[in-house]
Amino acid sequence: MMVKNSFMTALFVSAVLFIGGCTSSGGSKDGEDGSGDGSDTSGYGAGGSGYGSGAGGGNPRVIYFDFDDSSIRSEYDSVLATHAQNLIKSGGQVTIQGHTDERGSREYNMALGEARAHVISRYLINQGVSSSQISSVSYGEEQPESYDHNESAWARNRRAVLDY
Amino acid sequence: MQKVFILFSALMLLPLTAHAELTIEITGGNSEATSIAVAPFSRDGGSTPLTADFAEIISADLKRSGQFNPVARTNQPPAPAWGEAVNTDAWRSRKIDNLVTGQILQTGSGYKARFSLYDTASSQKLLSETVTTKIKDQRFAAHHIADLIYEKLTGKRGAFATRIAYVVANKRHRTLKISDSDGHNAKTVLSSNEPILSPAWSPDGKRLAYVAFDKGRPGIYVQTLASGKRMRISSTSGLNGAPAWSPDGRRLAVTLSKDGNPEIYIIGANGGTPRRLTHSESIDTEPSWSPDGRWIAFTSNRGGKPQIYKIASSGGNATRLTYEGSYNADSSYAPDGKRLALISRSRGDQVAILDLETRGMQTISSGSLNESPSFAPNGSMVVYAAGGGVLSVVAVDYDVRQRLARQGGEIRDPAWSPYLIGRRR
Repeated sequence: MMVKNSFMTALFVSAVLFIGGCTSSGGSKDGEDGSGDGSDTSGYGAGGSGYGSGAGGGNPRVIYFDFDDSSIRSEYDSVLATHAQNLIKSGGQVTIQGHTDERGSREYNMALGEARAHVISRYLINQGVSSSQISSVSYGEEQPESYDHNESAWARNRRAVLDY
Repeated sequence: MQKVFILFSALMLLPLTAHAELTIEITGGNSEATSIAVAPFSRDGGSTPLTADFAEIISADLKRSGQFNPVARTNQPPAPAWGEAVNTDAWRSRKIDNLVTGQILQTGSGYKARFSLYDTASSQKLLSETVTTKIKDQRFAAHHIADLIYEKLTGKRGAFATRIAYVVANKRHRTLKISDSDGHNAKTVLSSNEPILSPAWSPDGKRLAYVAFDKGRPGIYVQTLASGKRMRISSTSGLNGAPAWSPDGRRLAVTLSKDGNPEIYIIGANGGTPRRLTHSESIDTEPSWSPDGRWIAFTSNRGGKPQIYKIASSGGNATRLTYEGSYNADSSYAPDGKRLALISRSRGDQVAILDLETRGMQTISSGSLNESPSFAPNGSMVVYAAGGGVLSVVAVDYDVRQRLARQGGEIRDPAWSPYLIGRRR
């Protein structure tokens, strides 16, 4: 009976969630509020952005890239070296997310996002991090940091995020 | 001599919920277009009210083809009663080249729509047929009548009785939807809080392949529309993307990066071991299968920047197809196999048609941030995602376009279905 009840509760909850989802899909327009996925965590541009709260301390977790480019700008050398040291010390896991801006095609951007994640991954491995500590995933242009359609939004969205 | 067409439930019994409609706006016009009047269809008995205005639907279809200039109802002479002799003088004197009359008969489980097409200059009846439909498929029946009229007058098969798959995206929610080709009758196929992208119709129109994330990992799925049953056919390490059906519907070309970087592979429509097709150290993705099955066009940055290449579907060396500009991507074959629709960045993220014989490129979009072009099965129209989160449907050789927008949510990743109604001649 208990089992049945909790099953019914689960059904009810998922029904409510589904309805909630439908309502929201017909509701607010993109760009109207600032509560999008991850859009409130990190700043603009290169140097001092993307401060996280976890094991990375004050070291930026977001690495930005040029358009249609997956090479690491030299300004990120020390940032990534610090991440490498943290990971070697902790032996913990990191997931590297690769992202792109909205320009160009969606599937090419999935591939470009992966290339960005991989280049960070290789950098960390070259610094001595074990490949078994690293996983990567590309979201292409599917999860922008900024939903605006201009140069500064695009610069902000071309990024890799170290999630650990 | 009447021919009867029956709309089969090849119209896919979508076990799905109806959803908010798209708003539809047709812009542009072709002054050379054939003038045609579709008179209001009369009703012969029956008490179930029609939910579709057949004449309006047929007129709108013909208009968005760019080849017809339908005359508004208010500018038409009074329609003759169905079955009466039609005197076409009144139409001809208003410079209306063709006239369509019709009548709807209620049957046990639906309607019979009878219609006739006249040439007003000769007073000749060009076509007279009957389309049988269930009550719920009446809009689709009207699209099918538009197809028959279009074919009779242009010699080319109509593609109005088709559907478009697309993704509606909000910040936290994605839905994969299917609507009729004019944006009506939107139905939900899949909802998720994670990305959904790249829907692709099977050649028989009964299944959709697409990419969906599940707990942060992408997989390629094939979903049977009638049953809603879906199968994950690939979830290898890394990318699982860009599914494209083979013309026989037995295989899919996909992008996987399990061997280190994105390459094109061929995989069975029910899964199985993928066979690797491309070998480069760069990005290879966005395959499109040629209609004859021999070639696969794809995007590669092996030359430094993304360009379109083709490779035999049996393997071999790739040949570069695009040279204009530094970014050409996301190509898809026209049904005739002679053209590719693609995205050209140098033209400002425009949809362009590449003629594979002359290598000439023609821009068919406007604005910015356009992507994901897909041909109608007769090759006469292209749907693409336009900047601002709307779909644009453009008549390739005419300056007529249709805009499909939606309240709340960007619409993207459109894919035009194959023909859904068989020829029964």
